[in-house]
Amino acid sequence: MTKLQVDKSLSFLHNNLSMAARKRKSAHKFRKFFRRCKRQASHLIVPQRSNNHRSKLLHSDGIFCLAIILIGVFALIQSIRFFPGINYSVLGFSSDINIEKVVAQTNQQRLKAGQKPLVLNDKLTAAALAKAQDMYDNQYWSHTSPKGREPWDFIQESGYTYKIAGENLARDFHLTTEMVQAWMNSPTHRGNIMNERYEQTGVAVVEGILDGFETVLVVQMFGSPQVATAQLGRKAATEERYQPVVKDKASVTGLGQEVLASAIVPVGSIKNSAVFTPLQLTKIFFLAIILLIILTLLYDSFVIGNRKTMRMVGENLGHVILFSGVAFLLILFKGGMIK
Amino acid sequence: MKEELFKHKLAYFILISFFSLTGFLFLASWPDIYYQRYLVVLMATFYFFWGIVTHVKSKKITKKITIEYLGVSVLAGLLLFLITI
Repeated sequence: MTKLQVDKSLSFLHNNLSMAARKRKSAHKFRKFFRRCKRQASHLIVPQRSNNHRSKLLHSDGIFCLAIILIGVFALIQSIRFFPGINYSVLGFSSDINIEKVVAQTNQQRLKAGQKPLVLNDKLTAAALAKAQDMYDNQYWSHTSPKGREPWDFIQESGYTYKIAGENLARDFHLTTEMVQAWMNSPTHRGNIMNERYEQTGVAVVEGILDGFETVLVVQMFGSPQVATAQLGRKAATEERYQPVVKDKASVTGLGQEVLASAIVPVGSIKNSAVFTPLQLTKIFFLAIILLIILTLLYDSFVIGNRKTMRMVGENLGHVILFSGVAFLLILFKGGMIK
Repeated sequence: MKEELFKHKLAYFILISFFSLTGFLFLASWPDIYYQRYLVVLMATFYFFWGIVTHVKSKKITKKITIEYLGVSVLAGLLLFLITI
């Protein structure tokens, strides 16, 4: 072999050895990293000498860290509204509320109490629609608008002359039954639904964006006309279907009153292709945290019980009962607001 | 855990009864979120004092245990409070 050939072979051998050494080094680094993660996880979950025979997650600093993570993730979920691209693809709202169901269930409650059913009135419905649109346009959630407009202003502007009038509001409900049940649970809202002096009603169910999140606003107006035979109502809204209206385009009611609407719900359900509502996302994350804590508590009790180690710590059983109760309430918690 | 339960039967009976009552009120007061929030604060505060009193009675109270109960009460309270926002 010539010197050149020897040099070439040596250089080839050296390169191969370096590559093998590099591979061994990275495999070693990975094994070291994996061992460190395992040690940290074990320190967090398994009672051992390094964590004073109590899972680190259950120490007071672990609990406070979890609380901070909780607040951070909650703030992140609430801030998704400021990122429209993410907001509309991940978060959304679906509801099966429509005018027919609201009127039917309201009348069902009235009939149960021996009251006469309410008749759907066009002008009251136009007033309800105008109110819903005003809430979206001016971004408020209240009976009185920021400019001081009361519900009666909307009713008067629709051309309805009332002897007595009332208003119920609802938002963020998925089911009509839940919404009506929420109204019936509230003395003032129940008072409106069951008031024997009301003869007619108007309902608007409008989808839009309030406080940065998609929602469905429901406005129900109640009234009795000044002149009993002046207003003609209809029992159901099946004949006239509301046409969807593009945002910022005015539609004109029969009374020449202009009403702007971003989306008028046709009779039927609103279906949304988004994955979760903010409430669902929050619930999922909170329940995951609770599950982690409960499992850690149970494992901690099991390990220490077997080892028969004495220690001065809080009662694991008490904590398990507390977090189980919290999980139960979280699962049963319903969204929705009424005013 | 079974031993803990039998050692402090009365304490756990009070705890479970109180949580059952406030849990029922929490669900029944829907959708009044302000009332629900008061109940959450009440539940968290009750649990903190329940833990302290239980440990004082069994003569096993330390600063660490007090802080642990404070942390757990705050965490549980936060979980329910934030959901009402």
